[in-house]
Amino acid sequence: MKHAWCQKLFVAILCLTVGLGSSVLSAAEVKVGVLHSLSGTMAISETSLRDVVLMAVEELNAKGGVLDHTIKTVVVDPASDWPLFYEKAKELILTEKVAVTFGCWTSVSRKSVLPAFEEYNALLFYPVQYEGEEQSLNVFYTGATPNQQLIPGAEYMMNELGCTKFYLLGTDYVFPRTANKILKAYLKKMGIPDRNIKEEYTPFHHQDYQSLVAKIKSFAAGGNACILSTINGDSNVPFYKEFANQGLTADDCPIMAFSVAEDELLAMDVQPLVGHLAAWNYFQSIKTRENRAFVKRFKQFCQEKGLPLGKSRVTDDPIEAAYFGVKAWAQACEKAKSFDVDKVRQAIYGLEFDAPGGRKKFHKSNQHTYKPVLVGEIRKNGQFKIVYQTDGLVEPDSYSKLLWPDGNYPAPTGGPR
Amino acid sequence: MCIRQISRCVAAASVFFMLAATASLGDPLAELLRGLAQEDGEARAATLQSLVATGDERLETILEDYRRGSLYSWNDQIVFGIDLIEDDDLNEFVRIGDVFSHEPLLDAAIPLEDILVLEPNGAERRRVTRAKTLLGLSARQKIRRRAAVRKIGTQTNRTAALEKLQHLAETDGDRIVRFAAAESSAMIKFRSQDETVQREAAEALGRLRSVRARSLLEEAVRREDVTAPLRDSIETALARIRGRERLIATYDIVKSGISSGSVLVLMALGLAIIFGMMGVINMAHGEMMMIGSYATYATQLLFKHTPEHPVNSYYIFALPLAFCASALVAGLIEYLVVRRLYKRPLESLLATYGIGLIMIQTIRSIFGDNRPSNSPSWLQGALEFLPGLTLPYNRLFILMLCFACVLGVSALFRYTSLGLKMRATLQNRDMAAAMGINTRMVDSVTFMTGGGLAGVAGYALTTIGGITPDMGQNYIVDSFLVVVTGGVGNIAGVVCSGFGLGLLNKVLEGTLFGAVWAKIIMLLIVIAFIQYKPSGLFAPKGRLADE
Repeated sequence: MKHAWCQKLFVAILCLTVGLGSSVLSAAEVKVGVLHSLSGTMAISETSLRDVVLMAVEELNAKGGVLDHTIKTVVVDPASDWPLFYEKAKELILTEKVAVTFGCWTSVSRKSVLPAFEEYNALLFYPVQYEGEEQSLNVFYTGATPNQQLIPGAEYMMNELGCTKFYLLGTDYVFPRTANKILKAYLKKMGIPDRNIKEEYTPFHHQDYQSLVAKIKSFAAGGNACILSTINGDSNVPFYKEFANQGLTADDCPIMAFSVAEDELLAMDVQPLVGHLAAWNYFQSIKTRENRAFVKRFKQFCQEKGLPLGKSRVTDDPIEAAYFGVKAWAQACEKAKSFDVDKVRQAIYGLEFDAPGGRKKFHKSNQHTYKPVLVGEIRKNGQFKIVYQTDGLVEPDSYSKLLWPDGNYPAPTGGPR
Repeated sequence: MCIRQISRCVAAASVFFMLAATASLGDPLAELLRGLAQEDGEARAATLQSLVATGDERLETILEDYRRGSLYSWNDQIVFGIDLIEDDDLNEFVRIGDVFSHEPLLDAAIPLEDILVLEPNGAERRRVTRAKTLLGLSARQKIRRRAAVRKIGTQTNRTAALEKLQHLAETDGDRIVRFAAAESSAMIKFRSQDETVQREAAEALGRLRSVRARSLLEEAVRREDVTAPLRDSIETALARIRGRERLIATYDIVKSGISSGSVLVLMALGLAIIFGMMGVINMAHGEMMMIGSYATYATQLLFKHTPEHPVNSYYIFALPLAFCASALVAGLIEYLVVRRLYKRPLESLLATYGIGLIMIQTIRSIFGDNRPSNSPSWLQGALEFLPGLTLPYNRLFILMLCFACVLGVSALFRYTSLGLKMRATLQNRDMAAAMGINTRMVDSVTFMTGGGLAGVAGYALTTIGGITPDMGQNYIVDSFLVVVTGGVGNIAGVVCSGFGLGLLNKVLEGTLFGAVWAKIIMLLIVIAFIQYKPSGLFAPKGRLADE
């Protein structure tokens, strides 16, 4: 009796597997990888990118997918662990055979996966603003390059607020170091003397900003000084708090931040930051119909999927960049009529597309994206009031013109085998 | 009857408010303000000019609102946007208020589409900022006055404001405004072309030891066309100013050294008790601190304290709560895990490290990362003894809390029977047990006290930084450093090494090196010190030392 029951179960399982298998075969499917940390220190930022990529895919599928293929996402968790990023990237490319991967936040994670994408000629969309000085034919960069964020930010401080003294402050890793190198070259080119530029770094998770704020105070005492900050993550809270407690205000010495966006402000005591500035390519507060609809869809998506914070989630620059990366890839596939990496790459060059923050396009050769630059003033609700916007889109530099004045950039890496 | 009276009063009051609102329509300033809604940029500029010409002191706030884009044109009248509200469809509404008093004009909010936002462009904003500075000299709030008085000294072409500044320098009620006004008027005079005026101004700046004027004077000295006598007076002034700057720098180093020392002592005190007395290497100590921070945050939520509606008393209640929450968690850990691993230091190290990780992830799942803690308003801002010499209230508070804890713990050990039992258990566990002391119980209490003290440290840290689940990791290494340098199991050692390391760090950071190198060099110094004195500053003496 028991034996027969086992047999029935076995047959049932067999039928089920065969049935499932055939159903998979019948509807054409294309796999895309999502490579964002869902645990560890970077989870706080990267989880939102996974969410928005899933949303973009869901939207595409609702409209019939890409090239009559349903898109299937393969989400992996590299857990903020850089070597694991490489392993997971290889898993996506070789085992899952994904057509494209959307992922990474920190530069070190991107550098870790780069060899995998170049070796197997796979495609990665990287959605975060970074230090530039890189051009891999296997990556499309949808975030800002330094000249699309840092330079316009510094320009704003100089022209609009009349600042003549600059304190470059950052967390000690590759993005702030390179960013400040570029900023310094730019400021010198604009005729700011060396004595009016100061550069300083603090370690990751630095909590005690007393000495630094004291130094800033004496630097800013003569007026017309500002801070260009690439301080990262949880150090921002003690920094802004100490700044306010020692009696400095945005009037005395405004802070222009390059690493503080809405998603970070959502989880911060915003009060000491109000009135200070940030430069990005997108703010949730952009008042176009497309953007409002996008913000609403994202909030709804987070609520319906029961994600943490649900409806009170916000969008920000990397979230927009991650979102339009998916859409632009789909558009390029339609244009190339293929999922083949080399054909899709050719289709992306010069591709124009609609994004929540307005129409954008890809560069015709250097893998980056033309974007507008916006400066926003932090409001007490954690949103930005846009106070400045460039006319039109800014051309991306893969290698900074300031660091390579002769224009002899290194050749791009990777590409077709 | 009574209710009817009240309702009549309310009606009268609302009529009064409506009158007040309409009254502002007849106000000449309100008439002028309407010009800001014009489309023509030049007409707006002219409006701005005639506005400033009125010199009306109400303009100071209005111009700031205008610069920030908080003014709207509605029904041919300029109104103030109190706040923006979003509905579920992300349509934005604005609640409008009177442009002068900011009192709400309507109960309902107006859709943003039906109202015109006044958005000045860059050039206009610069002009407004300049005009606002001048008007700020007569602002009622002293914070605004201070900012304006300071700002005006750095601007060019401000001779027109000299009279007002001199008046402020003599008669203003606020000491800081008086000083800054004297400074700023000297700075403005120094920019004049007349050499005698310049020399007088330079001497005045020297007398005031005006740190703010240093870069101005330095730039002047660098110019080629400076005459010898003027150069002399500038140099003398600069020497005095640099002297003051050195004083401020030294003060800042000592102050931040002591205050970061007090944080270290507060952190290490609990660890010294657990590690020193019980020999347990508690890697979850930082997480107990984190529990204290989250308990403070929870109290803040419970009391509904926000920056707009401060309920400052929450912070007083949070102290015992933070202590108890951390002590409770510590007690639980001791009972479930640590108790079973006494005399196995390596296992207890690994076990507590694992518990720490579990706690981090649990708290992250419950509360989330980076919670916004708002300090009570009396801990914001700073005490200013002399221009430039400030002591933020939160640092002062932590310093006092640190002393209170040290005294409390010393008293506990010295004067209570529980303390006696703890010391006995520490010195000779078997003998203490033989004398009838319940050493298990003593261990529990000791562990809980140590955990509770970590909670107090976490409570204090909410005034400095943010609250994150892994915040303990930032402090645990430093705390062990303090305990090891101080001599294990010694409160006086913890105090000395805590303040010593805090000062050392700040001296390195403030003088020769940046924050990154300061940390590295401090670690090297500590390693060298431990090589030279393996048992720390205050090594146990006598028979105890042999064990």
